[in-house]
Amino acid sequence: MKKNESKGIIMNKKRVSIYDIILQFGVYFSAALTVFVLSCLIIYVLYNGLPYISFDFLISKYSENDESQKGILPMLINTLYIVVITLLISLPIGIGSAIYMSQYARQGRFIKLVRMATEVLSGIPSIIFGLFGYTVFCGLFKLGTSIIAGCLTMTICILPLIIRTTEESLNSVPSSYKEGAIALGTTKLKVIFDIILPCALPGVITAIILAIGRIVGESAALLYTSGMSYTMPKGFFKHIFSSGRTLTLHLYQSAKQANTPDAFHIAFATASVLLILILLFNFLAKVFSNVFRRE
Amino acid sequence: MSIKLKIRDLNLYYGDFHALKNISIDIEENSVTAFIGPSGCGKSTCLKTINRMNDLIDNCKITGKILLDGLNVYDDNIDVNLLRKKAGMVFQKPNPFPMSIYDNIAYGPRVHGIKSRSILDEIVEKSLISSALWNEVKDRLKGSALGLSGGQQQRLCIARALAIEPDIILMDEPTSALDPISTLKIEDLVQELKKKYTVIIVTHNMQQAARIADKTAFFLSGEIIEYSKTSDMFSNPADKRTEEYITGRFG
Amino acid sequence: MIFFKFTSIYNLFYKVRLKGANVSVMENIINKSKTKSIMLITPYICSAIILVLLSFKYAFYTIEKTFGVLGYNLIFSKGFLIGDNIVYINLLTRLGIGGCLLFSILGIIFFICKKYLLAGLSYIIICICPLIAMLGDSLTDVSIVDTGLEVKVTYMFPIAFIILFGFIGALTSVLVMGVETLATCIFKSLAFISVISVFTIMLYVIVSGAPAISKIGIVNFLFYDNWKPSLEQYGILAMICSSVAATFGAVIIGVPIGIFTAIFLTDFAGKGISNIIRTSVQLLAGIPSVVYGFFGMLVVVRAIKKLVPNQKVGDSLLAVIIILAIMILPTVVTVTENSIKAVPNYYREAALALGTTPTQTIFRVVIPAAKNGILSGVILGIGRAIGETMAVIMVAGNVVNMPSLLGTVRLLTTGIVLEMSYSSGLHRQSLFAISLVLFVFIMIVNMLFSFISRRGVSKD
Repeated sequence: MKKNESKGIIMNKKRVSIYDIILQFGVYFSAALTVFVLSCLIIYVLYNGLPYISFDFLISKYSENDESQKGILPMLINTLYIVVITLLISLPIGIGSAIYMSQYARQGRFIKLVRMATEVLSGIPSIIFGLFGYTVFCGLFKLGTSIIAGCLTMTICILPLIIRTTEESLNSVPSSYKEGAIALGTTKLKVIFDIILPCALPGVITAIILAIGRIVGESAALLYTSGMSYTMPKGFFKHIFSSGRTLTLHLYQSAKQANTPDAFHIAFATASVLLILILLFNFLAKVFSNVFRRE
Repeated sequence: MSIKLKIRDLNLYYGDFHALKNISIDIEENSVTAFIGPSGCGKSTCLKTINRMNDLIDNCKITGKILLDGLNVYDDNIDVNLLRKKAGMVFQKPNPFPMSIYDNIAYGPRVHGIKSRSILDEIVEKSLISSALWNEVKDRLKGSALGLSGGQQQRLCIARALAIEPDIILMDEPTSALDPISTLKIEDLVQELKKKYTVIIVTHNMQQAARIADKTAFFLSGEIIEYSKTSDMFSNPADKRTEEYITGRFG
Repeated sequence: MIFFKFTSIYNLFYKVRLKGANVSVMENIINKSKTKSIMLITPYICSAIILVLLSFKYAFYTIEKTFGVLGYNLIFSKGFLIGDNIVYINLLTRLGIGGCLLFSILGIIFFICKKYLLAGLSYIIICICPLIAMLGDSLTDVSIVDTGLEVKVTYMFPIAFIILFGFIGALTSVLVMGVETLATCIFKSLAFISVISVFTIMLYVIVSGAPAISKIGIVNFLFYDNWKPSLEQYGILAMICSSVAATFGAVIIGVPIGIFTAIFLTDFAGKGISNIIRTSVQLLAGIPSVVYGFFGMLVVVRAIKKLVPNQKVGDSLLAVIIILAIMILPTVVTVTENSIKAVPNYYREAALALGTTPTQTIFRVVIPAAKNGILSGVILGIGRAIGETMAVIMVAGNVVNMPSLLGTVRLLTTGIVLEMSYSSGLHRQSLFAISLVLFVFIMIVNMLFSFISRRGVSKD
């Protein structure tokens, strides 16, 4: 409020110099450019892709040679597998460490070490995770290029995200709740499960949605770990140990190999599906974090 | 009257800071004892040592004895959670959990292993009646506790403390965040409670201490300066510093 | 009613402790020694299970044909005789499985001697033993290459061992230490996982990258521009320069636009518009890099090809720069906006009161005050740009060239991805060495970031 008032008093057209005009132009131009680029990207991809998304496209199999089989069902299934398994592994680890960091740990060397570790992890480019997963999970652990190797790699990738977001939401639970429960003779663990986790639930859900977005969008870390195979699952559990390409890798592959307009249609349609998924997750995350803030 | 709580040579340090110095005090059963003193004098800290809430604070060191019914609460083989069940606590700011009114009160008994629905109903009703809240909320027990007014929330917190059937009720400035009418209600409630429980109340409001307390302890920079019957202390303080504080010359 | 879903799960583990807790008699405060009937049975059950499991087919060795091997066989027999060749069972494997047997016996003894902590430790070691056995067999694979026989080992029971004894170990420790201590330990070890991952990754990057560098020579590797793996020439100067040039270009274009946009959001736009733009910028951050690459490949690359005269291919450093600039925008905008918002309002008021125009106030007073925050945003952006792979690979042209604005380039990241699938020997090692170089770059950027953000905090 105060800022606007003072603006009003001093606003005086005569004093606006050429320097000011250039800077103002820069500001408006940049903002417009940012919006333009974003809308360009989204509209371009959706405009070219949406006409080719059909129910058939979503539920039919894929084959490199057979023109009639150009669906993305296998990639959808693989992506789903990777999202679900990665979350199954990383959520207990991430939420557990966040609980430790916010509820148990006293300020000290260990906490600093974990903080530093998550910071470093979040800065490492995904291609290095990919290489690490390729040699350690695929090679050393003998998992081969498989969905499970991709999931383990992705687990390390998204750990910092989950830990940081969950920890923030745990810390924002008022300490008076905790004190009140402890004064009733509740054990610490029960306080965490009864009071703190339920209060922080919207924040945890936001973390999960953000993590899903990250997993769906990831490509470099999965290129050499989960592989490029596009066969349909042969068994529910067997599929975990077989190779499978995700939507992003499918987009990469089909864009790289495309040489006819038809081939580009597949890429556009895949990109549109990806984009819609990501927009959806972003929207959900925003809704949940708003719910959280209101509480 | 028998002695419920004995504190002997209690010293408490936050790191290097010596917060409580050689506290020794006897609290009588079924009475209201008030701790008064200027802010930062250690009265709240002393209250929190009784149900060991200070355990939550890092680098807090305690020496001395607190005997509750003859047992030292700082013994190694004491179950802290059962101790806290015996010494219920009401905080400065009302802190109901973000659940329904019913669940708030039933939370404590549930934690301590009561499952039966009918017993829980009974406990909830009894606690709400003893905290004089029953008539106001009996129609909306399933409503959120956060929808109550400040005074109601504080009485709900008292009801929550009563639900676990404590022996002692510790109140840490329970009315400092409330308006005068709610304060009055809580003071009346304290008078009722002392028939069944031993109440220790920390307050920065001397009139309040004069109104409700049987005995009063005056704290100053971590020490008990004076501990006597409330009427004696306010009419005829033994120590000069007490007199100065009571007459409002500092604090 | 989410509250009681958590409660009910938790109560399963909790019941033991709660028995008789609701009687408010003073004596009850004192911990009574718990009934240890379950504990007394535990060691015998454990050992029985181990003995039974060891007499099942523990592993399957496939050497020409498949052999099912009992756990006992793995401890007591030396190996397989296939024709004239002896295939030894690895010592680590035997140690691992022998360890299970030994520690199950030790576990009983410790239990009987009431050394519960040591007993629990024994069961934890039993959990780890199968892993050691498996590790042993990964070494068998290497040693067997000499005999010309191919050996494949599949396990049946180790996982059961790990899960079962993990569970029994946890149960024992619940009884010995109580739920609370156990939970603390579990949460602490979960928090330790991220620390372990970081150190493993660091170790891995250094260990796998160093040999190639020492073989090629650090000068030959870093400062020569001759990447010809087929001729055993591994100089990556061109890639390093391209990476640096691309990042630099992206920062030059992306950072001013990002900062200006952030200023627009904080000082120029109304609440409605700035909310819309903020949301869209956050969207920009979520879009997968492959989609950026795809967009770049079809729009930016084609545009460069058409607009620049005499340009035969559009894939170029310029395309990389443009795509990276778009990709670092969200980071720069978000961080800058937050640090501008953090500048206390009285700075503005003081400047405005002196008669400075609003625009000048922002650029002369607010921006300099927020410069630490903005700088850390820029560094985060640099980190993102250096590490980007998939978007770059689609627009860079991927020929190893010294960087020129309209020429094709190959960056460090894309260098790794492109040749990983078919490389071997020194070639592959040199790819790992590239990842080491990349990692060093990232660590420098990280350190700069934490240095600057810490300086920002200490100044405030």
